[in-house]
Amino acid sequence: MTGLYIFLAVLALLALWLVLSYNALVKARNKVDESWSGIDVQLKRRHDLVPNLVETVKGYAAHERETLENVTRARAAAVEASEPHAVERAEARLTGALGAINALAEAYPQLRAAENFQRLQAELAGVEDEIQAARRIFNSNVESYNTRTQQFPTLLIAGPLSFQPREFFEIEVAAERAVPRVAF
Amino acid sequence: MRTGQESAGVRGREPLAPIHADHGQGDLFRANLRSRTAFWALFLGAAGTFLFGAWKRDPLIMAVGPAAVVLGVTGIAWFLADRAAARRFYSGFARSVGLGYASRFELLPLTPLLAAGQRRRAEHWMYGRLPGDLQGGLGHFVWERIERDRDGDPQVRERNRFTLCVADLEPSMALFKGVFLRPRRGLIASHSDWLKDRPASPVEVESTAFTERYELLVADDQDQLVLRRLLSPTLVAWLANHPLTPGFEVKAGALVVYVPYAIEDAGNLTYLVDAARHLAARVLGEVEEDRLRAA
Repeated sequence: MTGLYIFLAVLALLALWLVLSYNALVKARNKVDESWSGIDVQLKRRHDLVPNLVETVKGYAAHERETLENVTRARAAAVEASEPHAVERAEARLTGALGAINALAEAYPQLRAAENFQRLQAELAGVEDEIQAARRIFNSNVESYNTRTQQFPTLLIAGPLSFQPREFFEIEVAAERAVPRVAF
Repeated sequence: MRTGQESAGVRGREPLAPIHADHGQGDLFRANLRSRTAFWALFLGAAGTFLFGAWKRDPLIMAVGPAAVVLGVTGIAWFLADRAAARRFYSGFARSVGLGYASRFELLPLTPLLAAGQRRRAEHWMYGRLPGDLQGGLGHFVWERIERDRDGDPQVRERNRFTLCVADLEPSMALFKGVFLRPRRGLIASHSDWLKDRPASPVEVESTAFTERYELLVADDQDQLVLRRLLSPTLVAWLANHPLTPGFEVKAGALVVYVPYAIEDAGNLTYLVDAARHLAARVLGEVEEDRLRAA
């Protein structure tokens, strides 16, 4: 009889551990998904700024059609992308295209001095800071989740219950690409 | 490159401001022991207890009495040195950042923390215009939980010492009804829950690191959209990585940034003031954004 009680107690402890571990894994996975939507929100804010930026540049450099079309195409592709890898690629392309606008501004002093352009650039820089912070939060959540799925003994249930490791998200933004200019 | 000591020497040997509340404690202790008051207290106390023991014909009192007096006087000298060193440090720090100093102060119970417990006081309070053009102050905040015993006498059950920085953010009053961010207290909390009876609900933020460090409670009438805008990814990441893990409360036009322990060094006090400046800028930034949106 004592043996049966011990067996039942061990079984109950095992069930408790299973429930707690499963819940912790679900919570960690939800945090990853939640922080991905955080990135999504910030990316959408960036996408929303681009048309205004293009319109402003058009007013000062209308014949730079190719550059502006590139930006518009890159934005459309970025809006379409949904998978992390596709988002990474599309956003990198958009960053490159926005970099070309910055280069344009160097060639058009009136554009560079325009109040609207400066405001949009500042707003874009702010959004890019938020994107970087959201990315850091996402990657930190992914690291935490992956560590849980790979740690013993949680890994014994993570695999069979389909808790697959997630990949980190890398994104390049214009602020990172910009090389500080030094003038003497 | 000159060291601090050398620089001070060049400026005419003016003493360096202490960088820790214990700085110079030993010197003050020795000075206290060498003082005339200590001498007479030791002499009269030791002689008195010795004579009292002799009169009682009790060798134990004759031996232990003077030793107890020596211990008592030494303890008082240490306590006074500790207090004087702390006062010197905090008043020096206040002077160095252009603030006034008061050894004791009363704070209005504007936020839940400032209203915590049954008895509270601020100590080593440094007040005036803080960096970032904020009106407010910083210092230690002591709050006590008092219960009545069987005879109805008040008993201090808990005494907590926090370090906080308070900033007056009156324009935020309409937008921020109550945001309370508190460092997690762990399973065995060292202080009781001052937010327990508040009409506030917990809110989860998307960052695991942030959630592991903090618990966030928000007043039931707080606009969630405003809250989400305040807790932008940059602020969440900043808080999740801040070396002090500062908590904050915004309510009734006041911002309180705090750590649940006593800060006794200039470096960490500066860090706390900087955290308050950063958070105040974020709160006021949201107020300004809201004003522009409304316009």
